[in-house]
Amino acid sequence: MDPTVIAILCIVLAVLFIMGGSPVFLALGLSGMLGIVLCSGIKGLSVLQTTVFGTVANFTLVAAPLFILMGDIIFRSGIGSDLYSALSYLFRRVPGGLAIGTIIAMAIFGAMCGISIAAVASIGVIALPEMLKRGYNPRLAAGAVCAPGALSMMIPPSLLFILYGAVAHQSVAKLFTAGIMPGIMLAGMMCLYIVIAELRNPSSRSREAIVEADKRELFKALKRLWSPVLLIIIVLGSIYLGIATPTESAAIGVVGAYVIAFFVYRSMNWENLKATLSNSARTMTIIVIVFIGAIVFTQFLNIVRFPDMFAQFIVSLKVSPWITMLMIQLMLLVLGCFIDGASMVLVCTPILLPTVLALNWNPIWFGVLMVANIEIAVITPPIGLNLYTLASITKDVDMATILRGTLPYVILELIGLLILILFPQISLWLPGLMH
Amino acid sequence: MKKERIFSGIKLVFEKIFIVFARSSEWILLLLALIIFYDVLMRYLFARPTIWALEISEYLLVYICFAGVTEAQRLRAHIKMRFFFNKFPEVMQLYLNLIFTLLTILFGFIIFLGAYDLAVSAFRLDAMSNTLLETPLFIPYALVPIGMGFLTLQSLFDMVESIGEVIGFHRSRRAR
Repeated sequence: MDPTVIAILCIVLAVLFIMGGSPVFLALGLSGMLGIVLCSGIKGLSVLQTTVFGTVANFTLVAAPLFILMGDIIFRSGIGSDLYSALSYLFRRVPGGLAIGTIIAMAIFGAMCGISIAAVASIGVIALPEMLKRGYNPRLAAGAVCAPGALSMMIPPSLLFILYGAVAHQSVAKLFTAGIMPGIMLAGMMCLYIVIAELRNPSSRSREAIVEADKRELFKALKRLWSPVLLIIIVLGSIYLGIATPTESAAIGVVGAYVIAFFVYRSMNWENLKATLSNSARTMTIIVIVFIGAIVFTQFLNIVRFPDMFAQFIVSLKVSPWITMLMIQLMLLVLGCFIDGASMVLVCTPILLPTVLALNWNPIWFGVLMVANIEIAVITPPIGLNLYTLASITKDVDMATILRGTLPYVILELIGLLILILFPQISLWLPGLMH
Repeated sequence: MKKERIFSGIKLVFEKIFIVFARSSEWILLLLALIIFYDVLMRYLFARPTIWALEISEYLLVYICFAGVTEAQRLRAHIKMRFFFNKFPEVMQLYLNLIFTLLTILFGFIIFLGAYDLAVSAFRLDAMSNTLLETPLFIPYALVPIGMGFLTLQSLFDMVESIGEVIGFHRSRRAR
């Protein structure tokens, strides 16, 4: 059988399996194995002997469970509530101040935690009732809680960048740094939208009376907030300055986060300690098994030279690289609506990377675009993890309100993605300054 | 009845082993963080980096991932896309679950066989890591067949359960 036919057959099979509800690792792994057998016979599977071990025993990947653990400790520590208190007070005089405070709190929380749904769950649970109490439009309030959670994936430390770095063999430190400016830009766009929406419909602004309790909350929050902020400066600063690798910084982050949770916030007990370890270990296992499936699938694709064929096909089309880029982004956008972010990075990166290199695009920039795409996916149905997380933590707003409230942010994120495509320097400026 | 009791007993014993294996991986994660933190302290404060932290941390990551894979299967926590699946009729869902379980057995067994061969070869050839630590490689290599072997075993238990669900569905339909 022709290798191209085998490749198409196996890709279709993997997609059918995923759509049919099979575990993603199984869909990728078995389709890959079938492809290898069809191409090289049963003996071809011997190539997997060392692949599986070699895939997992990877120092770059060690950063992933550590950052997941750090995020989980911070999620359970109560830092999110302090961030919200401080920032909503600081922005009290700006139209839509509470919503802006929520967005910035989530962006900063993203820099500490890196888990999109954790930001929604920990800050949203406090911010949403508060905004509704003060007369905010439920749609605007729901959107302001749901959408900025996605910033956690762009603002470092980001699990998706670690996975992309491991698959694409790119520097995770550079990817982390590349995510900073786009993250700030997207957060800024979201805040600007709130200001414009509130100026057009000022009904909620007048009710934002600041009560004495807010000030007390602020001082209480500020007294404790310095420590997690310092931690994140150390973690990200050491990566940016090239003092430590992302894995080493992650280990510092874990120890620092435990110290803060135990001694500053006093929120960590034996049960919480066990929960952080159990949750993080399981999350890592679930991601790595998908990684193994994706590597088996990639091995097969490399045997039939599918990524190279795909790259040659794209180049031979002789269309403008911008059109190609838009088509790729559109494809990722559709795919993002159906599979989760980690799987998307693991599946699409090996297929698209040769095309990226053939068209002389910077792989770091492409990684940022891919993550920006996944940000849209988590606030778009049917996968939209953030939508369901918010729906599960509140009874004040229904799913329809959440969807309507999040729609403007989907448009904002699309505009943001377009800006990032048109101006690669937004992503590449900071990594270019790195030592 | 007796067969069922024997099966339940065997399943219970193995489930306990899987749980212990998974719990140990949680503490190994903490150990991993502490090892790298220790290495950072030694490297940057005392200019005396360890020769073992990097290598050991890679092996610990392998442990964490393969020790937890069976538990994730038992709890049906693996990443899947259930948007279309949830729209299928119940009988189709039951059959699909059975098919996916059978295929998981196949996948787990293929990886198990390859990884087992690698671990046994490393043991026979006395293969060591190409580092100052010179770790006997069969030890970290063995983690993969153990993890995938347990995954296959858990999937076998799931398969029996899935077959029971399918039979139960048809019986209840006939009774109706």
